Amino acid sequence: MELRIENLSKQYRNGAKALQDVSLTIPLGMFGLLGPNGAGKSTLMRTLATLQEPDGGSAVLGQIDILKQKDEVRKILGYLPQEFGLFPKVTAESLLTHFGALKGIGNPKERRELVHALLQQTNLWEHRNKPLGSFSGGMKQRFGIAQALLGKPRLMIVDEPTAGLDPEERSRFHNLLSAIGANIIIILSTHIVSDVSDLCSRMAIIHQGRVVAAGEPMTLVRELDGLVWRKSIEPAELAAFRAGHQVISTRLFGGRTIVHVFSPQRPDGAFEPVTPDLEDLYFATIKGATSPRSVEVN
Amino acid sequence: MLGTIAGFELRQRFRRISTYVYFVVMLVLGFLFVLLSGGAFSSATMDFGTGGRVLTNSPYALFAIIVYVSTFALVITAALAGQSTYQDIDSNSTPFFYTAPITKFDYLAGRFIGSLAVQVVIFFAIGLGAWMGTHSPWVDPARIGPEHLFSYIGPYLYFVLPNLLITGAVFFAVSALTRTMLPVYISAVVFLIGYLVANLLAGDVTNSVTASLIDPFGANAIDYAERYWTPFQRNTQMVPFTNLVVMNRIAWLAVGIVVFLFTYSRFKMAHVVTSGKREQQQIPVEEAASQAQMAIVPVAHPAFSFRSSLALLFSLAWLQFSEVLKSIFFGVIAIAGYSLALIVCFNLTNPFTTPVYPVTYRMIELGGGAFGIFALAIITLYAGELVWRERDAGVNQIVDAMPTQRWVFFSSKLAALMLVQVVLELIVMAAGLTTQISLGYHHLELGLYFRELFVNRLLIYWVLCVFTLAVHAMVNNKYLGHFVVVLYYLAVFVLPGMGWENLLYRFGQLPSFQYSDMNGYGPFVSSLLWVHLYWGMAAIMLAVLTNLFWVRGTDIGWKQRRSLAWQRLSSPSGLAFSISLLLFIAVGGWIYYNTHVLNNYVTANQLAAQRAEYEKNYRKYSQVPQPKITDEILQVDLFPEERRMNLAGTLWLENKTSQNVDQIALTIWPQELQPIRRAKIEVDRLDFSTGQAPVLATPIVKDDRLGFYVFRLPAALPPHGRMALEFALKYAFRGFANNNEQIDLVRNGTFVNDLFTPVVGYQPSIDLEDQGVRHKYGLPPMKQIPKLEDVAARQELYDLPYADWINSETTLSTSLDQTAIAPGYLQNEWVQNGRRYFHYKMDSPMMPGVSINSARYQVLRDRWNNVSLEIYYDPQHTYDLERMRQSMKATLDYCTENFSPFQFHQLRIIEFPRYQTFAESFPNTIPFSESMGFITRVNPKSIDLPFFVTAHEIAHQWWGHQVMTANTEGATLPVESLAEYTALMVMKHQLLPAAIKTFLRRELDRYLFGRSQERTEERPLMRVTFNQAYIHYSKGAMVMYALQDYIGEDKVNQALAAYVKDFQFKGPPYPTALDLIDHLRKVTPPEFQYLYEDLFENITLYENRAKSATYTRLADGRYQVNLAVELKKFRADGRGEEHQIPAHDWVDIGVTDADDHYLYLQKHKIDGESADIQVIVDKEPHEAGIDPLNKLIDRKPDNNLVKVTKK
Repeated sequence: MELRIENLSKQYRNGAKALQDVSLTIPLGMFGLLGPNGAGKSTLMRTLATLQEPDGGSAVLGQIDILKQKDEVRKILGYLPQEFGLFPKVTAESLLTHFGALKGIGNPKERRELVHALLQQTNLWEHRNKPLGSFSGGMKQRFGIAQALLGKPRLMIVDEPTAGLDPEERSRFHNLLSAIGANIIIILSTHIVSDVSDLCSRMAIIHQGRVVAAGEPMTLVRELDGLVWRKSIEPAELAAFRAGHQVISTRLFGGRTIVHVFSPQRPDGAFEPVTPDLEDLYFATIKGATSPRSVEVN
Repeated sequence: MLGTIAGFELRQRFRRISTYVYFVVMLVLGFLFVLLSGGAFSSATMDFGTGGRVLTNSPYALFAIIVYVSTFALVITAALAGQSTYQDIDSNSTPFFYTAPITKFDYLAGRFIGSLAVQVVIFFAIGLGAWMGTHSPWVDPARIGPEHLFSYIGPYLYFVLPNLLITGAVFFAVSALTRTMLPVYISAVVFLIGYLVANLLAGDVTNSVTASLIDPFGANAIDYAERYWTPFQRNTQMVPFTNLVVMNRIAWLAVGIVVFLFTYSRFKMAHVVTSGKREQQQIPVEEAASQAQMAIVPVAHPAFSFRSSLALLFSLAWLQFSEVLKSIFFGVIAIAGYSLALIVCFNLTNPFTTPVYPVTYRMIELGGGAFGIFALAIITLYAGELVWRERDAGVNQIVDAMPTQRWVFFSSKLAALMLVQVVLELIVMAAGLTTQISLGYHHLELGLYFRELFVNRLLIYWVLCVFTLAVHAMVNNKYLGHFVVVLYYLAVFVLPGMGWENLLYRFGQLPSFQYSDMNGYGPFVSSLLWVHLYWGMAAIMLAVLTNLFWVRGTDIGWKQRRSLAWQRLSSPSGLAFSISLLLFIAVGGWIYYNTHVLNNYVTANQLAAQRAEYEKNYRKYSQVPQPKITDEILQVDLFPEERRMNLAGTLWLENKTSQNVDQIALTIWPQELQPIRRAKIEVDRLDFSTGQAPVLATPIVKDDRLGFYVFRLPAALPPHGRMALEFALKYAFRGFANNNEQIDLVRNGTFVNDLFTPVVGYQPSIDLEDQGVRHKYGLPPMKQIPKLEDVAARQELYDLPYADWINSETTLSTSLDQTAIAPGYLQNEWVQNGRRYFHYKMDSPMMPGVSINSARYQVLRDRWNNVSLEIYYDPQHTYDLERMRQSMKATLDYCTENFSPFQFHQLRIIEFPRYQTFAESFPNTIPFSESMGFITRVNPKSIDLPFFVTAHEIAHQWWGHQVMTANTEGATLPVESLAEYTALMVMKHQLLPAAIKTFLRRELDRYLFGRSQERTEERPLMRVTFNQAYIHYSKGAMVMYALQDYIGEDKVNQALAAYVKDFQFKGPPYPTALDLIDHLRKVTPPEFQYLYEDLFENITLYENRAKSATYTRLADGRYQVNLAVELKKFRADGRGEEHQIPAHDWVDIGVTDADDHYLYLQKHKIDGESADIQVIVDKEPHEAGIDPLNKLIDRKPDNNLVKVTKK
């Protein structure tokens, strides 16, 4: 089973083009959708989660037309929205049970066992009788995952799940996601590169509503071999430096600025070669440093 | 800083469309109400009780309009004041404001002032709209007087601005402290309760002070201050700033300030954890970074069948239903509503403010009525809460992506709201049962509770549930949604008054109906059933549409919602919609057929137009000499089950004029004119004969629509000539009417009067009375009733121009199980063809008029001397029979002893259904409404209504049936005022004086209030016209009571006996009020002759008060009381303009002891405005004063007594 997205586009009433001709094919496994804030990730996610109508294009999951057969999609969908609230006075267990009922698990015994297992799996077992209003950000996020996992979904959409989590919570979250198994499609949208590099076998970079790169992270990164160079400069030189080079990223280290530039050749002797990583790819792509290459992925 | 924050609030409000919407709505409402009261629409039904003579731009009317609209706009204040801090919480921007370098005071006061400023601007739109209205070309210029700026500003100073402060402070406090909006709306409801309770209390004059103070809006204080104002005063004087008004305003402003200060002290500019438990709960510390436990997740088996959806629907509905029930605000409203319903139920009285038995239908009407506003509030608020439940919590995206069917979500919310209504009806029922049981009333009609509350009311509330959910789903903005729903309530409330009466478009409204113990739902059953079905179908359609447009996901633009709805349209919903649409149309067609084809659909305006047409076309026939009716022989066949009647008979006519009569005009009360409501009349026969041979008259006017006929006789009828009119009419009431359902011919409790029979001549009683309405239809001012001094008018009977004393004979037939009664003595009774026949005949000429009653009666029989007494009553209503029986005897005793013998040898009281509330005297026959006396709970403290009304009606057997009066001014004085006097005297000899005082106090209030509502001209008692009930009943009772107090009861009765002796059973010329007054003057000593000028010939008012009273103990152990009193005497003209006149009056001076017994009560002659009086009494005095029993017409009757202090 795979998810085929073809020519999806969406323009908001204020004129913002959230999606422009987005086409992607997403196979089983964890798929990372990387892009800066406002790139259109959430629009794409909501469209796939049946919450929003695109202006045009199609999205087909196996035999199911996502845009038309919404009820069918929902039966196999697990969705964790980017921002959500929970009834503050209700306990974790009772809300999860309630969601279980909404997901169609009508047998109370079966539902109870499932809820208990998911609470344990998401490490919320201890807190199952606490009102959701008292949950921390990480707990809330794990609760979100627990509800998304209800009813054995075959398509999981998790939108910016690690935003606002501390490193420990984030790592626990990664473990959880990777444990869910490779037998379903998980689409993970994020603007944090390491989320993708840690977890995803496939990925796409989306920028200004367009897919600008897609494929296996390693393959994509490998294409940058020999094209990324590093130099350490004084922060004050940066402006002048930018004028002469295609800078893909800068970061401060020990008071000096480490600059990564994109260049077919070593610009000069002061530059040293860099083994490119996903972050270089990401920044190079969204800064337009790489010429938009064919992003045919499969 | 304060200014900056206020400015911020102001600016961001003015950036919102809602501010402008509110402004425009207020403007339009102000404008509209001015047009309504200014006669721009076909009838001025919206006069705020100001009567037709109060000008639209008078201080009073503008006050009423501005107050009315601003009370309705409470919902706007709630939204604006509540949101002024809540918006930060809602938008999660509290951290920015709370951490900004501003003080708490700046933040709170700034926001409050900012939002107050916006509200002031919005509310000023009402006055602006009103001003535009008065200057618009659509307002009748006759209704506009000189313009005073202060008329517009006054209401703001006294009412709108203080109320914005008061209510605004409370709303602001509630939202700032609870950090949610729902409690704000709840407190709006609580304000309304205060206002309603005040209104309720104000219904009884003795509670007016309390009512004035507890009204948070102050409207009742101002109403009370203006209660007795005449139209003249209302047009010219500014809204009064009485002590009560000031006290009310100060007290409530203080409440507002205290609430604001409390908010200030309790409010914390700190983040609050919104947890179920109070305050900061420790955020749990995570255990050491453990691997997520890889518990084995069992395989679930989701099922998506219809059955599982249904099961989910039930559990979701139950969940949301119990959430509503458990919410504290539901509890508050429910308890408040229950309490108010209970108060209202316990307070139950008949229209004459005497307590009645807690019969079930009254419990439902009162409790349900009082609770109604709470039910509406709950539907409105919780419809919003339910629609926004997921979005408010933020789980909407999660839930919307779940595989639950959309209809399950929608239906579960609808079902939850519908279940809440069941609880509300249970609360009403509980209030009713509580009242009944605690009053020791055990006839609990559970079946009636069920039918009314859980069928009739519940069904329509369910329609409202669908409607409010639909509004909230469609509008998709909670506050705007609430506003739209409130607009809807307002629309259905005002539309009928504007001539939009058709049931077919008054969404969610039932035809008006009345339950009667005698006749059950009677004639209203079928219209109720069909209208329920009609709105039920509409609700299903609306529900299907709402389900299609239900917001799921994040698309909220109309275009996407439309295309989504189209996409979602499935065959089941299409089918459901189509079927209900077809049924809706079919049922609507059936309703139309019933209300417009089988019955006549006539709005109040069309009715007025037809009356005008009758007058315009046929007025000329009032000049054509006509014979009078001398004998009325009727054969009436009643078919109560089918609500039809065949009415045939012979009227003998005699030419009593001195001219030949060659044309005979007949009015058969036309089907579209009052008082026959919407009947179809079939005229089978209208033939003239000499008694032996037919007279072939030529019809020259035959107007079936307006019911007017004129025949030319082949040979003129000479003076004293007689001829017969033989007629046969059929009345059948089929189907049901849009409103004003026919209530005379019913299954059990038919009451048909002589308006159904043909009468001779043009009937001036059909003429429109209201000056404004007449003007609109191009009619000249109403012809004045003939002057008292008009000798020619004495030839005609008052209200009965077509007859003098008549002979009457009636044969009735009715269903086998019913008894039918008409005036006269029963001659024969038989059964034929399964029907019962009764033949009644009166043995002497009587006052014209016939009453026909038929129902399943029980009869109580008794005798008084040689007179047989009978009470025909419904078996359920045995409560007051004993009081009526005693009153019959006591009154017959009193009247025969003091006036003249009783002319009949039988006297009957007959109960009829409560559709009309009165009792009326016919010869030896008194139809008596079931709500007028049969369920009164007589107690020693209240007026014994069945006793009093029985006495009044029996007194009419003398005043009206022994002496009839001429068709002049003052015709009702010797009829109604004497009946009141007689009943008062009978009561005086039976009751404690305290009850008389209560009675007179109420009559005083009715008179003073009545004159404030006068539409044309207040007349002196002597010149009263027939529709001035406040004069001939209330003032008449007071004046006659005062008179007998001055000159003695025996003297008055001596005069009345002489008056009866002179005019008893005499034909024309008939006596007038002058004849009565002449007789009274004859027995009055010279020093009291001035009373006739004051009481009968002029409008005289007093403002008496006791200024101070002290006492000293005398050497002999007695007490000397020194009393200073003030006596102000005024004369008023017909418009209500007054001037003071010097007083030379005899007035009661009284001193009471601590037990309220009079130590001294004597009349003193007082010359001038004030007097110092010395009185010596035996015991220690408690209170002293002037006219303590309120025998004079005193506008401030409560300051006549003061405490006597020791000197």
